[in-house]
Amino acid sequence: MWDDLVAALTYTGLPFAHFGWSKAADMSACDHGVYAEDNEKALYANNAHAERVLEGTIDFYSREGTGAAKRNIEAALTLYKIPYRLNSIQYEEDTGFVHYEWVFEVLDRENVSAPMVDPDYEQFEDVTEELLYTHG
Amino acid sequence: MAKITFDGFDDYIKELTGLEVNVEAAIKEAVYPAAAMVIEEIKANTPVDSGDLQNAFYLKKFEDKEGYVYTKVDVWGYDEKGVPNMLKARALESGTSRMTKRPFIRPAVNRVKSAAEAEIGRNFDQIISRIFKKG
Repeated sequence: MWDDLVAALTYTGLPFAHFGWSKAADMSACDHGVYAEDNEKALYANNAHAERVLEGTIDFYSREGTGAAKRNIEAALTLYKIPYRLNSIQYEEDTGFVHYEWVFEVLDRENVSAPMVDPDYEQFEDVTEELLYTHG
Repeated sequence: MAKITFDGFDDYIKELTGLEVNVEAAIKEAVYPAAAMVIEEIKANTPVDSGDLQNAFYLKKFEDKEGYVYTKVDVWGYDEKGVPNMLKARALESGTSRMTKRPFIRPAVNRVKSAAEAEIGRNFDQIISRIFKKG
């Protein structure tokens, strides 16, 4: 769930901005991160979202050389059961930052349709039974 | 550039291996149209500035590494300012501490993956039925 992701990043105690590269620029003197959702993976049924997963990235820029922040973030994601993969590690020569990038997925329960109750379901079931009876 | 792995085609490969056909050629024939779908989706999703980057995507020649036949979506060339298109693609996809990211490859692949897998399955079915008709 989205709240779990926010909680996990808060748990790290590291400064994060949501979609805020401009805010992140203000933080450029220190280690900082940005998280943002960018697409969905969905299961559709009855012309609606039955299940939806939001995919996005967590970017963390660190000048600290031990990888402690990386380990801290990964431990928090694991603790809060957020599926993730480390997508890339890049070094920015001009700023001296090591840029860690993770792809995460969170279940989005807020914007899916209500549990599927098809008003025609009973009728459909009856027809099926009738067909079974007719054709053995 | 983009490594996209499609699984679940082992049964097709086994079926082809049992027949006296060029399996590698059959795999290429099945996979190529799906790879083309993936690259077209990536191109359609590429942020357009001069259009250099959009035209820089191409499919690499198929390779056979220990029985694993594959192609790759790659980026070639430089833009009009002499910046490597690969660098631009990477900077857009992942961002930097000074530049907002605009992911376009991963979302495009996510969107087209199911359709591309279905296309590979359909192509394998057609190839196998064609082989049986010949036999």
